Amino acid sequence: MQRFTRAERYTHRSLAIILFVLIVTAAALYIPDISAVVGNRDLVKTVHSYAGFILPIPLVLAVFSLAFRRDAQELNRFHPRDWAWLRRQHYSVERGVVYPTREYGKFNAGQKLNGAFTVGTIIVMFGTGMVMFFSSLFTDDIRTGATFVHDWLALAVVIVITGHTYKAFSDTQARKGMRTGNVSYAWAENHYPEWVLAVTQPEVHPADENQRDDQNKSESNKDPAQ
Amino acid sequence: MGRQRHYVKDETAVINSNLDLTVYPDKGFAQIQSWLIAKFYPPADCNELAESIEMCSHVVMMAPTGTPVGRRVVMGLLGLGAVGVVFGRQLNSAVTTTINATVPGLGQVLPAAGGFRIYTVTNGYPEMSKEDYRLRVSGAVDQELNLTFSDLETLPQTSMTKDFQCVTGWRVDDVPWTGVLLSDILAVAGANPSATALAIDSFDGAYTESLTMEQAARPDMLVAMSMYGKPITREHGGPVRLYVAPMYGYKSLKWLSAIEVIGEVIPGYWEQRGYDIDAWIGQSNGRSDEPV
Repeated sequence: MQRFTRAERYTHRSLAIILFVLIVTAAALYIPDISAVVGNRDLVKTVHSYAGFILPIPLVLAVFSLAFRRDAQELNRFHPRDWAWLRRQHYSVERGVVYPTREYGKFNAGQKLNGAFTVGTIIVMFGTGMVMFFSSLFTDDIRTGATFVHDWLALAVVIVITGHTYKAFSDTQARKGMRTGNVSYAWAENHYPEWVLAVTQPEVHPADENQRDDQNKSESNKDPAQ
Repeated sequence: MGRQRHYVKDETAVINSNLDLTVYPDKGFAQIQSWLIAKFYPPADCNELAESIEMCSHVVMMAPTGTPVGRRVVMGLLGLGAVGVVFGRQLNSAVTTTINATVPGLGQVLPAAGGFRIYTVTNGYPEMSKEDYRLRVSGAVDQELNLTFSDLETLPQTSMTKDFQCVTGWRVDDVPWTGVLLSDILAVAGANPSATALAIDSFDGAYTESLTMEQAARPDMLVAMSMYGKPITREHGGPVRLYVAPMYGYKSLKWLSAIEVIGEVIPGYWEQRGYDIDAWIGQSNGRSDEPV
């Protein structure tokens, strides 16, 4: 079943490529040992600057995609189940075995926070990068401040992207979803049952928990064994 | 607007003003009309909608529910970013002090924690041993020099502990430098009094710098051979570099190989790329840093 549209995948891919270029060039500019091997400061600086300039473009274009806007909306909104996920209370223990309670929608709270962090970070890094690029327009204090934010946030970006990549590499289907757009039904049912329900029964919106509760009740009434 | 959900008794159709517009062919234009009315004239509650529009019986507006945490995270990051930019200078020194107090030595490794940022304009750092090292002094001089490292060691040694200020904003406080004053070397070579400038070269093959003779005569222009009491390392420009204390870091050429006494200033590497030739700290490049 389809998880991501072509527009979303291309957005993800172009962002990934630009970020990769930015991180590699940043490392060459910033880490002494890598600077030693790469050198060519003028060229690396130029590449880093232009990659930074085009970084927001994929996100701006993506806003034209309905699927992207819808997923962004999903990522934005937190429900009680997301707080539970963050507190790691989405597992129930029965007879010593841990089961996930499977109560999140298309995305879990971690993915939601990752999305928000990415958007916020891109804006902040772009803004501080612009201050550094057009440095003659700003006072020293602002320039120093922008460098300070850019440097420390860059460390956070590397940590978050490492985590994101690690998670992706530990799940073939999740990767396939972003590469081809489609995931297997079994995987989706296992990881995002609420989302599968929302796709297969579109008249019930996943955000509508009251309705879902009612439905669960009526289902369990029908089949008490569950 | 339309941020709340409006339910009607007959929930057979869903029109979501923000997320989804499901088209039900049998409702046709009337559905779109009712959606538009509901969107631009949101009713206080569904009953009102039901009374005012007949179509309401199959319209449920479902705006997003839940807490907009994502938006708050984004706004929070923007806020923190803005605070960081405005108070960055104070925060920077606070963070640097804290890090160096708790984890001594981290500043040497992590540039953001107050250490040197290592810049090179060529492929990697050039390498030269003390034994192979030569400093050539030529041009308008009485006697051309080809000084070895030990020749430099026999000249009068000068030490100074001064900050290193980069034009990009970072500053390393209180660096102990030792070497031979530029003016002492020029005196040995017998620089012609009519000469006005120096063209300085690096053995990296690309970097150049310039100074006027007047600037070179100052007592804080050092041909440095030691830093922090140790021989200058390769990445810091060893075995011999320039340390131009009162000017931005790009004047302090690394991997010094030649000094030529000439008639007029030739802009150096970064000066050809837009940086000021007279790079006084706090009075050039549009900056107002504290002088060293």
